[in-house]
Amino acid sequence: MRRPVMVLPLFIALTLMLAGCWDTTDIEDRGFIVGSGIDLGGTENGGDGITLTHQFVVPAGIGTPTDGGGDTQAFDNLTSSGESMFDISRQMTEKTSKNPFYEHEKVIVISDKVAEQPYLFGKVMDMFLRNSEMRRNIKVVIANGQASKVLDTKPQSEKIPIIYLDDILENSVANITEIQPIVNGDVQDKLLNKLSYILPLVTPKKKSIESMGAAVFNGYNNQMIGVLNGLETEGLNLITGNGKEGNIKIAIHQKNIAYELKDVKSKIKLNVDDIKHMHVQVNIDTSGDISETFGTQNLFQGGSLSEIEKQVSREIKRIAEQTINTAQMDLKTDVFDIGKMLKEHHYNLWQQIKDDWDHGENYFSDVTFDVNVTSRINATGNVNKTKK
Amino acid sequence: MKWFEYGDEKISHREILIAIPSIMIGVGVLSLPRDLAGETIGVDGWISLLISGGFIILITWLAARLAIRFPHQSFVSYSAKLLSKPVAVVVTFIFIVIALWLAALEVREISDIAKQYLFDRTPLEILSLTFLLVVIYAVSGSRAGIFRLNLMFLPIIIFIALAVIVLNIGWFRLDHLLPVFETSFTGYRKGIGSSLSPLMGFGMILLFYTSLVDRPKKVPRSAVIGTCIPIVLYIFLYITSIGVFGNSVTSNLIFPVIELAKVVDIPGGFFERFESIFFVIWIMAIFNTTVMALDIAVLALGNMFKNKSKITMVCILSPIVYVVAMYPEDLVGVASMGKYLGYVSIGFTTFITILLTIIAKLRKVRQK
Repeated sequence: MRRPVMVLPLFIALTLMLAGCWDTTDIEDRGFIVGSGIDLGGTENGGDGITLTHQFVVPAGIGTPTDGGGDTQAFDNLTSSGESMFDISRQMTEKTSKNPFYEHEKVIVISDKVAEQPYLFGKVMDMFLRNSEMRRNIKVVIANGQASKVLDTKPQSEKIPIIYLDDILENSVANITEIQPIVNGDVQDKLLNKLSYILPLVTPKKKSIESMGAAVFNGYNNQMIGVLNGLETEGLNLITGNGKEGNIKIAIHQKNIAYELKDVKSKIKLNVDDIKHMHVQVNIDTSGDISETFGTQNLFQGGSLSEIEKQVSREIKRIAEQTINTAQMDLKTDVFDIGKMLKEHHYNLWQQIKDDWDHGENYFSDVTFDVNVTSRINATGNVNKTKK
Repeated sequence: MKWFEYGDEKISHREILIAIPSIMIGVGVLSLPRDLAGETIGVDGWISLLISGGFIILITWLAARLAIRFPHQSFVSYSAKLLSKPVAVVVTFIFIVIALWLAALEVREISDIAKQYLFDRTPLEILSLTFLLVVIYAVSGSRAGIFRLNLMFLPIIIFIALAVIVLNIGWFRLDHLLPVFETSFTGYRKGIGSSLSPLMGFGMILLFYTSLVDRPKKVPRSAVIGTCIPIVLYIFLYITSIGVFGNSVTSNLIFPVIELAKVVDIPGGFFERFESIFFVIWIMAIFNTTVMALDIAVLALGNMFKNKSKITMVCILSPIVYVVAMYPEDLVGVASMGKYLGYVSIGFTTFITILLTIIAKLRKVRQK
């Protein structure tokens, strides 16, 4: 095989192969996007459509742990508006010197105005699922108000608002007034399944972001139809057993006692004998500590602890029933995933009623709930009495 | 230039055990959970997968039994004894077409996947050509070398597939698996149809490579064990995919198994982009499949035209692979190419295996 005539084309072919990478992008030219905010309406040219705000990281602003990064802002928010998400992304590339890179996207913030439009939520989520740079673990939250305001907050503890928001959501796992973070991969599941669902709700403040409550979506047209406030979310978490930590305030002889929840277990039993009037039995089992007393009770006195336990149970039952009432009467939407349980355990029945569950005939509103609560006190803190 | 020669061109029954999963594990499994979830409810697709797996094991066993009736004889020579010479040539020719078609499909699919996830701007033609050149290099060399490559790559491939399953346990939710056993009979039947094609390729290994095995007696047992490996792996990958994504999402992801690899995120930023490793290793799996498909075509052609050199045949066959790989215009075209190839490959292999087995039984042809 020592014929140069045969080797020559091979050399030419190999040189072509070695010409370099088609897809190379230097790291300096990448614009690392950490978060996106979606609002309604065009900001610059007016008219309908959506406004997209991307939060880019400015590495110069972050600096090293020792020099603190100087005066440069560590993030840069770019806004563009248009008719479709792809359209906006294109415009965005015209405005930035860097190549938008989505692999490090952490949180998508969607304004409640966008979510309240019928079918729009599904449309804006499409880009975040279809683009192959996107991962399936980007958290999705609904902003109470403008999404761009959430991206503009100036937290003291973090340099990048989205990283701060991401940490808040991460810490919410145990907190009973917030729901667990939901990622875009789960959102696709919810969008496909026609079951109603909830997403975390955040409210922008000047220096902080408050994460409390939940946005309620009807699965039929993926439209946000209302919110659950902090207390109602607490009731929801107690019923579903998702949240773990929180506190319940009760009063005995006009003296406040704080009961700190440490563990919540719940069991939901369905009775589906009568389709139109289903019966749902909710058993909530909590355990916790007494973290604060305003009175002077001797907690070891006979009957004192069991009296507190009884009061706590009554209070939890009241909170849960309030949430059930809001869901059935005001929102008329199944936020407890009862529909999902029906689908999983009574599939044939579900096929009959799925179009009339919390839409149409709305069988969900006629479900009777029965809440049973048992509470236990594990510890009373370090002291028996603080003052006389 | 002188080719490096291995000690012998004989292979053992253990190498058949490795070769079967190596050719079966390819691009098919990456999209398998999607097709299966689309036809069935909840996690029921595993039943379809088990049934088609059982069928494949049966055919594998039959093909192995058939091939060892004629030790050290090529497929074309023993099928000529059973079917007459012209028919045997036609049958072998169809197998060559299937093998080339399979190689082309793998080349095209891996280029599509690489373009979608890794190289956005590189032309598809260049990706395919680059991959194919490496395949051609492997096929041009010693056949024993291919089997040694299989032996080296397969444990790594199985390891990364198990890693995808294990590292996803944290995202696995049992309620995604519900409801169980609600799929209709038609659903199961369609599921069996779509779970067959990722298992294709098995029969060709046995019908063509068994002639190279030095002691063929143990081939059927090894072949059945080899076939079990991808089937068990596929069932686990399918269940993981349903458990992590749920049925409705799985049926709407183009490549659920790649998405599974993308979900893996070891906390603390320690190891964020697991899919990059997954891609590297899965390209090895697809490389093995393509190399063996092309090599079977070369081997079968070599059995018919004994006086032509191997390099000549590689030079004739590989441009065909490239042209066929570039033929489909879009993803839909590639998908239907894969579907038809699945039907033709499995159907033809099954038909020929059963036909030859029956004729061999009836005519009591046996040569020692």
